[in-house]
Parts: sequence; C-alpha cells; structure tokens
Amino acid sequence: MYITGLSVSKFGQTSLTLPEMMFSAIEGALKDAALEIKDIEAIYVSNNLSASSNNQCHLGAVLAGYFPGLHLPIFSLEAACGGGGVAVHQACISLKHYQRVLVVGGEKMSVSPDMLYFVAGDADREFDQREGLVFPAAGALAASTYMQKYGATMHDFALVSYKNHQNGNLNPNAHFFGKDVTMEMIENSKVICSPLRLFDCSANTDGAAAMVMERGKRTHRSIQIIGSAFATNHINFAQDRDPTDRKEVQKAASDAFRQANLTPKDIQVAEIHDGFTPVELIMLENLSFCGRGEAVKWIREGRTSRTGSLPVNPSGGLKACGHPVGATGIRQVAEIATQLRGEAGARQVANAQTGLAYNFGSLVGSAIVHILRK
Amino acid sequence: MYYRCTACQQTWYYPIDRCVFCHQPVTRVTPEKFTIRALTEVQIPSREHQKVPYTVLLLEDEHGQTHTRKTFQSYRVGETIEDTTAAASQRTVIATKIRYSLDEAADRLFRLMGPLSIENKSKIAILSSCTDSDPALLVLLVDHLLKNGAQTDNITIGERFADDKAITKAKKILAGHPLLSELELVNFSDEAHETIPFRRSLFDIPKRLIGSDLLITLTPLALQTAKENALISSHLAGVFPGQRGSNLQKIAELPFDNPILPKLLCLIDARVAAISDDQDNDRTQRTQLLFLGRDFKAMDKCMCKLFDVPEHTLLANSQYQLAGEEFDVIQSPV
Ligand SMILES: [Zn+2]
Repeated sequence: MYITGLSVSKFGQTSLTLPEMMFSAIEGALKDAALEIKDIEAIYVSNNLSASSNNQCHLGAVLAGYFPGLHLPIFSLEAACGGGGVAVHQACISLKHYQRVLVVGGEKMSVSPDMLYFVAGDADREFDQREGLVFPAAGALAASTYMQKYGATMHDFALVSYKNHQNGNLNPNAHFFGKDVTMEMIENSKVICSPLRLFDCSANTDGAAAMVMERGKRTHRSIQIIGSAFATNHINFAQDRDPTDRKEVQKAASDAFRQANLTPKDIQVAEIHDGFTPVELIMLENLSFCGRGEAVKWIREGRTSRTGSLPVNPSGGLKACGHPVGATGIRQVAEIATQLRGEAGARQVANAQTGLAYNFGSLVGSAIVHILRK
Repeated sequence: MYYRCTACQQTWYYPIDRCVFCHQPVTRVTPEKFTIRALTEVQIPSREHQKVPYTVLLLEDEHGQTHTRKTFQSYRVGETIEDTTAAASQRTVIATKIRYSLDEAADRLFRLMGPLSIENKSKIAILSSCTDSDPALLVLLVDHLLKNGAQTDNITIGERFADDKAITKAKKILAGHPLLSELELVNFSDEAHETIPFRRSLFDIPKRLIGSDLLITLTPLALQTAKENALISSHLAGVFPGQRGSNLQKIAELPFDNPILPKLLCLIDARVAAISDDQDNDRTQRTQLLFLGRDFKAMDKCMCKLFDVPEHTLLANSQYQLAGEEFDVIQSPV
C-alpha cells in the first residue's frame, strides 16, 4: 500500500463550505499524484460534526455531486477525532479489492458557536456529557492523574505546547503559522479546565486533508504504509480506572509494529495526537516509545524536538495546526509521508526513513496507528 | 451501578443480563463509597452546562471501579463521598438522574429513601394511572414493596382517572405483567366515601383508604401556572373528588401528620415534564430525573424551583431539602 498523492488545506477559519474544502483537498491530492478522478475506484470520507452542527449527513452523496456520472462508491466514516485515521485504515483494507482509492477528511468548525457542545457528543451521552465532561475537562482529569503518578508539572505540558508551536510556526498550513507563541504566553494563558490552560488545548479550526492511496508503488515519491492498525475501547471516560493507561492504544501500536516488523526504536519521526498537551506525553508511553512516566524526562531533555532523537509533531501537531476533527487523522499521515518524501520545507526532519502517525478518537475509544516507510 | 459477570468478573457499565463471553448471569454492583482520585474545575460554559465554574470528579468506588460526576461543591483529591444519605426528614426530596437504566435510578431513589417500615400486614394503596404513567415504573415500585415485606393481597392500585376508558386500559396493562396481575384495581372515586371532620373542615375520603398504612402516588411531572399548580391536585386526584378550588386549599393546608390520609410517599416521573406558564404557553422538557419524597407540598415547591415555574400561593410556607444532589447534580435542563 502506498500513498501517492496528498493535500492538506490551510487550517484556519475559511469562507469555504465543508464540501468545498473537501473537494479542494481531493483536487490537490489528485494533482499531487498526477491522476484524474476517473482513475479512482472508491473514496473514504471522514467527518465528525457536520450532522450535529450543520444538519448535513450523507457526505458520500454530497461529494458525489462534484463527480457527476461517475457513481463512485463513497464511504462515510466517523470515529470522533479518530475518523481520519479510521478512513486511512479502511482505505488500506480496501486496497486488497481496489487498485487506487482516495481518502478525504474535513471539518467546518467555525460554523457554530456551540462547538464545545457538539464535540462533547463524541463522549458518552450519560456517563460523560451529562456530567459536564467537555473534552478539555477529560484532558484535565488525564493530566491530573498523570501529574500525580509521575510528578509531571504544568511546566512540562507548557514545554510540549512550546515545542509544537515552534514547529507549527514553520508549517504554512498550520492554524498558528507565523504566530510566535512564547513560553510566557503559554504559561500565562487562562485556565480552561484546571489544571489545563488555553495553550494546553488544541484549537477548533476549519480544515481538510486528502490522500490518494494505491496498491502498488508508482513513483519515487510514493510512500509505503507498512503498518495499519485500529483498536477500540468503551467510550465512557472513567471505565478503565486509569486514564493514562490506554489499552486500545497499546493494542493498535503493538499490532502496527508487528505488521511492520519494527520496534519503536526504528521510528525516526512521529505525529502523535496531542488534543491536549499531556496527551502527547501519555501517548508516547502507551505507544511504547518510552516507559511509564519517562515521557516527562523526554520533553525536558528536548528528545522530541525537531532536532531531537525522536521528533514528535514536526507539523505543529493538533496544538499548533489546529484540530479540524474529521481531517486530523489524515493530516497526520500526510505529514509523515511529506517528511519521508523530504518535502517538509522549513520543518523538515533530517534523514527520516520510517515514521509513525497516531490518531485518537475522543480521549478514550478509538486508537489508530500507521507506520510508513520511505 | 454496573454489572459484573459472576464467572469471569468482566465489568459492564451499560445494563446487560448475561456475560457475552461465558454467558453466565451478571450481578448488579451498587457502589456507595467513592474516593476522589482527580478533579477539574471547568471554567468554560457549554450548551448543557451553562453555569460555571463547576467541578468534574474522577471517583474510585470501594470496588476499584471509576466514575465521573459533576458537582458544584468543593472537594479535594483524596476526600471520600458516601452515596447513602437516607431521607433525613419528611421534607426531603430525593432526586436521581436516569442514566441507562430506569431500574438503576429507581433503585437509588429507594435506597436513599431508606426503609419504608413495611410489615406483611401493611395495607398499601398506589395511586397511579396507566394512561399517563410508565407501567415500568409501577412494576419497579411494586417489586420494591414486595421485596420489603409487602404482600400482594395488601396492595391496591387506584386509577387516578375516573373514566371507564382509563380503567379498561389500566386493567389490560396490569393483567399483562406477572407482578401486577394479582393486584386489585379500584377506582377510588366510585368507592363509598366517608366524611371525616378535621380542623373545622370536612374531608370525604374513600372508605378503603381509611386504615391504610401507606399511600403512594405515582405521577408524571406536570407544572402549571402560579394560579393553579397541577401538582398539588394531581398527587391526590382520585382520592378526593372535586379537589379544585376551596377543596384544594383544604388539602394543601393539611399538616404532614394528619388523621385524614395514610402516610404518603410521592414518586414523580420527570422524564417528560409538561410545563405551562400564565399565558398558557406549553412546553415539554425532557429531563432524566425521578423524584421521591414524603411531603407532596415539599416536592411541589422543589419542582417549581428546579423548573423555574412560579409556585402556587398555597406552597408559600412549604420547605424542602433536596437530597442525592451531593453526588448527582440535579439541574434543569439536564
Ligand atoms: Zn463472564
């Protein structure tokens, strides 16, 4: 399985509609792959909030309107913040059947002032939503648990935020591109859900991403997917006792590494779902890059910076790119492919041959890991 | 409450009857003691949680399972909370949220109410209506009474609505459920009444109720204008004929301990609350709430406050305490 074309939109508020954003990303990915839509056999669409925030479901048929007469199978997939990763995973599976497919994800988050409520819909209706567990609150409970267990501090989380903003400042598609976010700004930002501050949280944004995926390698720019795994867990936040011990993440990671016949030590660049800054640290551990509690040391020592031993989120991550929910998982895989192609410009990581993208649906529930090779 | 397999100890938070792995029956686990493992103070309002700040607790129960709960009270990590508050006084209104199971919610209400002091000879009348109430709640109520020592022969169901259609429907529903089919169904309005004087007023009360030990009312929540709050009358509709106007006043003025009525227990189903204002604007509010209390005026007062409806003038001197809220924030809308 190969990624042969990709396109990520400029993340940030846009006047484009969701279908326009998605269509534009599709056109970009086709152009990058030097293909026409008629070369594509199926499309996988990821979106999370269009139904609840804009009363537009059935996005497969919506997109079909851009390709009259083609009657392509277009599949809609939704898995909260993990929908993009699930779409890529499903596309991988489908390449046993098709030769060439397209994945696209998009989210229009500037459409409603009620996004905190709509996104809360990704958590359990009774156990989480009605208990006021909006997403930053869930991130905060995970943060508190992690701090108690491993002695992490708010300063450590600020270091994650700072690193990702430094990277995002070099990524023209990032929401925070060109914005110089300082440690002072991060540490003085207002508390959203204690202990998390505004700059510990990823920003709602508009955005879309698309990739062409093929069964065979076509050009030297084709990037191989050597591991694709997806694992689920119950949706309610508290059922697993310890929010820092994510079994679904461990399962998806071990499956993907086994498929790739690699270990975490073989990975040279990673995009790790950082909806909230502590989550990047917690997931580094759950993905087995380091032992429990050791990610704190990693961030303090700069090991995950762009020039460190394992650059994490060279794109800026969800923190600085912004998090258009349905697009994020595809953007992460596209970033790793871009890095492995050596086309990441100012944010390019040196000499990366293999990379990993980890996408998470809600703070518990869906974990998707992709491992890519040059 | 959650569900645990008796064989493999696997745990479910959604109601389930049998283990999906070993097909053994599951037991219901009702935790009562919780330790706060983490908490967050939420500063950002959202559509369903507009009042900020509030706190979300991550709780570990006595069996090691964890839960999240919203609260407006201030707590520290490491503190414990017990969910065993029995009704402290006659004015206590117990409220609980329904999550995924009505059984679970009813269970918690009865647990927080504490023992009902039922003996096997206790005569119990349930005033309900199969026309506007959920028979599932009636089943849970009767089940609870039987488990607490009541005898089928001593439980009478009174239909709140006097018309034949309601009685026919009630008969059919009771006959269809094994737990209800043996119970006697009566229409109190049709029954002989006896006139009892009390504090210079006369009360007509169905003879059958005289000598009963417990009268339980089961009503859906319907709140009307300040002029005439439907709750006061609806609790006891079917017991007192013509309960409007001056009769309503008489009933509302009855002290808690009175020789007219048996001991009362009021169960209110607020899942679909019908609310009208002075201009006759009707709204239906969906909540996930059940209420239980002993004093119907305290309950009415509490409902008016929670649902932001001006209270009936007859409730001016009533008081209530809301219980169960330490652990289960009751807000409107929920
Ligand atoms: Zn079992």
